[in-house]
Amino acid sequence: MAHPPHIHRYMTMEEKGRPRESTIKLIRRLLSFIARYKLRVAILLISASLSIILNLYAPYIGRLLIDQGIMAANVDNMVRYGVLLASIALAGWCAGVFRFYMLSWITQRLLYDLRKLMFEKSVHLDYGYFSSVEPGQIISRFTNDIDTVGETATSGLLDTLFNSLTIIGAIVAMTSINWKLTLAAFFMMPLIVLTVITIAEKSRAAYRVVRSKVGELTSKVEESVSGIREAQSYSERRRVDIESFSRIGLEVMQANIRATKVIGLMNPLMNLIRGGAIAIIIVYGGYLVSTGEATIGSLIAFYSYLEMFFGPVTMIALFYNTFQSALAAAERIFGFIDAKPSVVEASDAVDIEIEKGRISLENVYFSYSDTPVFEDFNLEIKPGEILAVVGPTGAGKTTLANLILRLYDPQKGIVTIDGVDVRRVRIQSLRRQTALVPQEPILFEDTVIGNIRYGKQDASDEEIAEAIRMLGLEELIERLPEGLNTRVTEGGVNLSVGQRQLINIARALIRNPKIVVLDEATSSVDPYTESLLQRALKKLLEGRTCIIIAHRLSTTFLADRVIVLDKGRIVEEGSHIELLRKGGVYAKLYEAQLGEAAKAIRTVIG
Amino acid sequence: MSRGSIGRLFMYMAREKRTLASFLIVSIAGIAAGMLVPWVVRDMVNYIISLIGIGNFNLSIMISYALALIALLVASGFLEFLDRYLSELLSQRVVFRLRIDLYSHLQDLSYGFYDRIDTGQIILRTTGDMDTIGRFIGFSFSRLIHSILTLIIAVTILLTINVELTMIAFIILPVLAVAVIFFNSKIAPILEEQWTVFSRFNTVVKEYIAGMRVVKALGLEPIFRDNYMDKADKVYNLRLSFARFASLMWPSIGLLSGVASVLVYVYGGFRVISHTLSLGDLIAFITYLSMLNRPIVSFGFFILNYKRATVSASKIFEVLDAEPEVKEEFGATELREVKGAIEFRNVSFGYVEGKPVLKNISFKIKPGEKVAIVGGTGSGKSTILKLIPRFYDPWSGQVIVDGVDVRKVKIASLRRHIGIVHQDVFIFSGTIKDNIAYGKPNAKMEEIIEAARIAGIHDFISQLPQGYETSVAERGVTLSGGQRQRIAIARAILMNPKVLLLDDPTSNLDAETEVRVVEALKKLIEGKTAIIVTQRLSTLKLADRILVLDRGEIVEDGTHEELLSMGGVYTRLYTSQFAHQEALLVREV
Ligand SMILES: Nc1ncnc2c1ncn2[C@@H]1O[C@H](COP(=O)(O)OP(=O)(O)OP(=O)(O)O)[C@@H](O)[C@H]1O
Ligand SMILES: Nc1ncnc2c1ncn2[C@@H]1O[C@H](COP(=O)(O)OP(=O)(O)OP(=O)(O)O)[C@@H](O)[C@H]1O
Ligand SMILES: [Mg+2]
Ligand SMILES: [Mg+2]
Repeated sequence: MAHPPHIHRYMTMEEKGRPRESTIKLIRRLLSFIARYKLRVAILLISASLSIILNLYAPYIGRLLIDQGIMAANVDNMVRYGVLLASIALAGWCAGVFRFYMLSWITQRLLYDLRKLMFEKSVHLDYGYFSSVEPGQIISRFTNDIDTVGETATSGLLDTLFNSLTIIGAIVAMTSINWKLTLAAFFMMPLIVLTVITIAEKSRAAYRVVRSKVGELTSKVEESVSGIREAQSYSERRRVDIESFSRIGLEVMQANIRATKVIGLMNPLMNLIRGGAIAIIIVYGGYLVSTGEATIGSLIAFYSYLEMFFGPVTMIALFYNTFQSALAAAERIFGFIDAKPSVVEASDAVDIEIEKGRISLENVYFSYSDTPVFEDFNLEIKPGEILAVVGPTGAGKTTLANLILRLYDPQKGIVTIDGVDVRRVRIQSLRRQTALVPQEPILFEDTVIGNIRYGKQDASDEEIAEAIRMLGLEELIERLPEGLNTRVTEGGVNLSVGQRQLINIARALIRNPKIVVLDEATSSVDPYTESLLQRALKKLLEGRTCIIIAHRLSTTFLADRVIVLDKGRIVEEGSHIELLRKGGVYAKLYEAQLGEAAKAIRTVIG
Repeated sequence: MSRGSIGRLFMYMAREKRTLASFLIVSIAGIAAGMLVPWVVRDMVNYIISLIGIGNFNLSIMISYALALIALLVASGFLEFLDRYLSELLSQRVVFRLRIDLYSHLQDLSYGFYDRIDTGQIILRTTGDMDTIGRFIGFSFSRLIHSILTLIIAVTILLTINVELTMIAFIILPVLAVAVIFFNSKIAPILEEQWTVFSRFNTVVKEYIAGMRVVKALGLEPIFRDNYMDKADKVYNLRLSFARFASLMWPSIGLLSGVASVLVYVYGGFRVISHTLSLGDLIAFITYLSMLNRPIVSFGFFILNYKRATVSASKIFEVLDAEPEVKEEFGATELREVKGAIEFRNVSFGYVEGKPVLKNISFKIKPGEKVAIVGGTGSGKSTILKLIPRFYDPWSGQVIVDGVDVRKVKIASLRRHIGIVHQDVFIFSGTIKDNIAYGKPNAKMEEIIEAARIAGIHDFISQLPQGYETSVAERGVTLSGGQRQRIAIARAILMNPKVLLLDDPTSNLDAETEVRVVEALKKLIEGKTAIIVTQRLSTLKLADRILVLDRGEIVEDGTHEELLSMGGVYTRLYTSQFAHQEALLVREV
């Protein structure tokens, strides 16, 4: 069964990171995505600027309304400015609607495009990449990371931009009303900067703890749920698991509360500063009004602008740390997008039409990491041959299959099919004519027939039924509650293990492939079904090249030739009978596995 | 149903009485402090206006106004801090309890539940949905309480300042109410659907990535692209239709409050001009009115998050309400010592109604007996094993251990005596040592090594650079199928159970290893009851007796020799292991 992916385990580790790449670079890259939606970005910028300007404009009109309308007892002015204010509110509404919608549109579109781009990337990346990275880690790129970027990076980026504009606008407005007052109020500026920086720094640290604890919690849940069947088999586990989950839960709670305390300090401190600023304005402004140097309306407008200034400053400060983690998520996504595949299609690759199915590996050197699996490996598989590969764990059987199917490229030497170097071949054309039954059966959440159809998308129901009949699997299908239409649940848990393997075999063979690799394809299938299957295969594989990898030696006698692989070398080679006669490694294994009967057979065969 | 789940959420909150009460007190105090600010401003404005033209500026009066303001702001800031802390405390405590309840319940739900549900959905419930609820309580709920309190206090103050102005300002209320209701009815279904679509999208991604070996080998990318893009399209469209309503909603609140304040300005202006209202009062009024903006916006947020929380809470309670199919009977007894006798008496069982997998199965296993079960693929071998530790209960008939029906004993005590190696092995993250000691976390190192030896994995582990401390999966080694299987065997052995159930324990072992493992197991199971499901001859050697299962029925029962001489299903299975001409020979031998 495919291993359940652990999505969050990696987030824990990754959350440590502020982005490693420079923030500017990441932001620029994000912006370059956004820049594609020119029209909408333009509308957004216009509507947002408009709503900022209108926001800044309203207090000014309010001031005129008070000074020239109410204080001057001028009804005309009052009504005029009142109407103006209402129009501003209406225009602000329009601008706001556009602003919100365009922002959502751009964000969602960016996410959509990123999702698409990541998928296309995954098509080009080779299998080696996916097997070297924990699946959960990649899954979390596609799900959590994308959403983190969407929720904070874009809207945050734009919000920060608009907030900065508002701040600048408010400062300009204040200065134009009364520069002396502005200067007096900004006496407090250094304090603001200090508070913001300290709290932002502290809260970032606090939230980092929160995120890592939450990551821990999630991976605990994930593991408990996917391993629940195992857990319930050990009665001690319930207590142990609940205890450790409670501990993590408690830590999450404490971390959250701590972070809240830190960030909660922002408001009282800002209030204190704000209070100071307001006090200065009042005392000094009151004095100016009393001397007639300022009007009461301008004082009130000034006050409104000051409030307009404090809001965005606090927002930017609070936002900074979420923004950092969003950038880290963006960096991980870009990391995936930038990953270099190691199996690449040559630019002059050609379609291949496999006719004979002769496979040869010449002087192949291959290693996954440091220790080579194959050094100077040579193998020739004749057209239409059925080759069995046996040997102990780690001998390199699966690796051999990987090389033949070009899931990996060898570091040295070449692999050819019908004399053509597989590196010169268009990958999809090769895939169409080859098939693999993997060591661990893989099932999708679909019906049984749907799962088989993955092998050949346009196969009709009849075609599939026919293939099943040919493979002698009818009885197996009949036993399922709804036959071919039985729904397969996650990971195929509602099928017996043997059934899962058989469905994988059917899926591979329905493709009508020229080259087939069966990697331990029947290890959990009962010997009788297997022998039926083999008989069917013998016929079905006529004219196809087939590589059968097996631990159970009874699987191999169908083969024209058996090779015994050990530590990346062929140690014995020949037909089943020949090898038994020879009395070497193979014969010993055969005896060990099949016992007395095998001994008797060997004596008879001689 | 959905209202019910929010109600139940409130029950959880009601348990935090002290926090809730302190939160309420602090909120009221905080709001009151905030409310006093415009009051002071009003007096001050009136004072400044009285100075106009007179020029008789009294610094100490102004300073005392300013100090009063600072004091109020600081006090309200501090109260706001407390308020925020308390509401976070409340939400964290509720989420904590809910999480533990959910997690414990998940531990008790039986296999049948997990057969039907996607793990991704459960994970979403314990993470994403919990966050939604946390945000709802910690933020929306506390904001709502604020809004209500602010509304009450502010309206009272507005009324005391000027009744007429208040009426004028509230002309817009009905419009607001209609808008909110409209918005509400539109977003609810969208949010509900978002949950489903998003979890589907996650499933597709998970399948695609986890099945990459088949995807790449068979070139399945185009199929997955269609499926993936289909889900991505849906997510995109749903979020946009949500955005459509949301972007109408937020600015509308601003518009309505803007219009209200213009009405107040103009009407109030007339009154000021006609000297029936002071300018200070008008400004104070407008300030109080603008104080209502935030509560109204919060109210909008509340509705949104209320809807989200409803969806999440109902998902969580759905799981909490799921009854485990395998339940401990009232008055179940502790199973202390077992001898290891196992009996199936007319057991019938299936996973899907009307489709029995096991049909009227009966057999007896004596204490210390070793029995193998063989049979075709899907004949029900694993199912038999799963009935013994009560992972499922039979439809009819009884499973009996040491003469007692397993339904009559405490589940944990039953399982304590039974060790099971499942056919599909699960390896947990952590070290190899943790994995072996999974069922007995405080096992001694010697015990662990001994278990690994018997399972034939010790040599492999000791040649790893970090030995038993090597972590698996996460930046550690990638274990092959055979290695995983042996770790699972070691895990079960370590428990030293009286009854050992092995489900095809050697299917992934190469011939040589298999022989060694079988030898070791042979010694180990001496004096224990063991049931071994296997497809392999050499593993069959462990058994004294063989049960042959065919389509859910036991068709043969006896020793290897007896069964071979019967020439039935077993003979067919056995001889299939040899090539055709060999098989003929075997039959003669
Ligand atoms: N993705 C990988 N990354 C690094 N090393 C690997 C990877 N896959 C296999 N190996 C190593 O390469 C060697 C050959 O592995 P391979 O899977 O080909 O063996 P095998 O003969 O198929 O064994 P088994 O019978 O267990 O399936 C082993 O030492 C294994 O640990
Ligand atoms: N969790 C489940 N939900 C629904 N059906 C199931 C479930 N588990 C097994 N089945 C069905 O019950 C039947 C018996 O399955 P079981 O796993 O007992 O077979 P088995 O004899 O162990 O086969 P194998 O040799 O392949 O392991 C199969 O048809 C299978 O599809
Ligand atoms: Mg392999
Ligand atoms: Mg089974």
